[in-house]
Amino acid sequence: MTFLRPEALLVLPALVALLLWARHRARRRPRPVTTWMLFARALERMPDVPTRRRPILRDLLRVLPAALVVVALARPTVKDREPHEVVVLLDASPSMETGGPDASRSIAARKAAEAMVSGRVRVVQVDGDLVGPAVDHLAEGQPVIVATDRPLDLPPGVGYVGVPGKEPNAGITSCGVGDDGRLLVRVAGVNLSGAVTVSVVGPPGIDPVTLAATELPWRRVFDLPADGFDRVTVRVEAAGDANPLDDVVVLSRSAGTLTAGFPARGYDALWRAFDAHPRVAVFRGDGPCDLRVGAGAGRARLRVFADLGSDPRPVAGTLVCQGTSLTGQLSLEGVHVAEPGSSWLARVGDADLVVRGPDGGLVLLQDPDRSSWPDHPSFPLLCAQMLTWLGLEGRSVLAPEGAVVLELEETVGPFLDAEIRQRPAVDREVEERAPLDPWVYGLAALLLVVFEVSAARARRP
Amino acid sequence: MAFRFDDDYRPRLLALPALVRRGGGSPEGAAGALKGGRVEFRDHRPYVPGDDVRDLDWHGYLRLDQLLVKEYAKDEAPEIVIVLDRSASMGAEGSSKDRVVRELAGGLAYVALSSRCPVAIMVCAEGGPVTVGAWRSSRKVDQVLSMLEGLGDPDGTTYLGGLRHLRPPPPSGRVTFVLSDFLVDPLPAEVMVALGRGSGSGCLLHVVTDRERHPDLPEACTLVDPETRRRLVVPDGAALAVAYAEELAAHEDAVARLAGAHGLVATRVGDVDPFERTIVGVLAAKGARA
Repeated sequence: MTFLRPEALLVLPALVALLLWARHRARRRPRPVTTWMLFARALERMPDVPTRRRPILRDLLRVLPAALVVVALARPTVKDREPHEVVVLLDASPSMETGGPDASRSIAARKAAEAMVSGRVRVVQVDGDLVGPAVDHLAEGQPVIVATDRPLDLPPGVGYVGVPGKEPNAGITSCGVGDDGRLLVRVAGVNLSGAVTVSVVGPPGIDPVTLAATELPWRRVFDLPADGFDRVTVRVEAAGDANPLDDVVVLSRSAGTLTAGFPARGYDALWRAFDAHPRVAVFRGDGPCDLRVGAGAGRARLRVFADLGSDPRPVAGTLVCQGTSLTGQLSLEGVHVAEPGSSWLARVGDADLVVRGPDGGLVLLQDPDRSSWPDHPSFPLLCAQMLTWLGLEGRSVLAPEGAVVLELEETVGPFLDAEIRQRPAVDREVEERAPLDPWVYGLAALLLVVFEVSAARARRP
Repeated sequence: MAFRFDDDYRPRLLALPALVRRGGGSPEGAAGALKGGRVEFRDHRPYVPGDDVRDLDWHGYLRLDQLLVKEYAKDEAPEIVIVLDRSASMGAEGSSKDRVVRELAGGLAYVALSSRCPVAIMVCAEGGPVTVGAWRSSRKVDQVLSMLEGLGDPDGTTYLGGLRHLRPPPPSGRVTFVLSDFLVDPLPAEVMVALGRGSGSGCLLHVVTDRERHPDLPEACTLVDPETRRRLVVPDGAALAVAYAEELAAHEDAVARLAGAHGLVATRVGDVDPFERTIVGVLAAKGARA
């Protein structure tokens, strides 16, 4: 047995002391008796009566109900002998559905969490704060494991299954030629420790630039000669770079204008930065990114807003992503209002998501940083699909009204490996849910009744 | 808190005379113990103008052809005196011992008043009994009860000896009821003499409560006399139980013997029986002796 309020037991010695004092006082306190004369005569006849004190056991029994109340106030509890039930707080955010219905991050994380423990497991889906509920379970002495794809700082004793982690990556987030003919290059990186080298190959006279990882994100505008080259290749190299897909941008000259071309998959740098590598951090760029895509008459601009000002408008609707319906509803905040004359290409519910602007540019109205969109694979895929909708590759995928359908691409890499980052504390004592104090109170009350009844019977003539 | 009779005491009191008439022993004796106030025929005399025509004996006129008037003699009721021992040994105010004494006093007084006997209630004092109230009509019952409620806390030592200063009884007689525990050493023999002097008679109501009869003193303790404040260290109250019981029995016998030796009635009363039963029993015993 343990006590939730052991300090209450300090009253017990005080009770015993009070009892001893009361006995001593009772012996010494003179009692008036009306038949004192008769007692005096009786004592005269029996002078050798030995002194006898009332047995202390009887007094201790009288104090027992009060002592039981003190014990009850100390909140006794009994150790739980049942097998520990482990609670798995499973992240229910949409990104956990990445991978499809049969092999998603959620499934991988749950399997890893269940494999960590041998007792009963209770899975609780949590969409939102995971740390708070984990701390609450820990405080109640219940083993708990958090399974999520978000980096969390969990207290010791809470199990942590991560899917997946972040590996070092450097990539080109912006690359384009402005109207002044100058080349803009932006480079960003995450979890890098070594040097980063940015090289511009093609135009003569541009030397490679070596940066320290701490200098990222990095921006430079290069002056390009008017002629003497047909292709510009911008490349970034970093030790430990886990994603090569965002490391190269090729600009080719066409009709006198340099436009961004696409590697084998036909995507520009922004898309490549978002490419679904299993362990790559997602770059949003450091501001509006103006891309010129395509070639020939099908050229269009993709504008992605990272900051949509002070007039966000939430949008809700059903979205099918990667062949999997997102649970619940997609929350899109920070939706930009399309310019008059825009025509929608994709919408969620009755809110436009992607429009072709009046100037022919492709505009994504949603701020990907402020939505519950599964960011790692789906946003870049959306970007890819938008380019497809432009008809550049001869395919047009139009969604049924009210939904956007994205096809599962091989760009969705192998990111299903769950990683155990922290083990839960499962050997802690679990106290009984029903404490013992109600029983102790009941026993004290019963004893009081028994004493009263016996005293009443003793007083009866 | 001041003493108050229970709410049901007065209605029970008013029904008491009927219970007494139906009481045990000799009904005539029980009633006769407190008889009084009747008018009895004594003789005839010739009618003279002015006599009350209701007193004319018409039977006598038919027989003797002479107008005769009946003469009556008033039978004076005996005086009833109820003496209360208010010493500290009679219990604290409101205790069962004090309550039983007040209830018995009220009951005896009302029965006496219902029988048209004048009643006086006295308390013992060192110089003699002190009258705290006197009444002649049963309609004064509320005054009797108020007086009994207003008696203070029993206090001080026993002054039973003061009863020897009781004035001689009147020609109609006097019945004195003494309510006391008689815890005085020696017992006041001279008081018994005074109570039975002349046309007087007495009844000692020896009050012993149930708690006095069965005290619960299981361990070593110090006892104090409420009258003299003397202390007594008792090594083991439970061990003294037998000796104490014997002393109590001896004390009761001594009181009874003393009363009997002087032609008085001694009755033991306690706090177990209701006051009606006690009074009926006391009056039945008194009536039988009368």
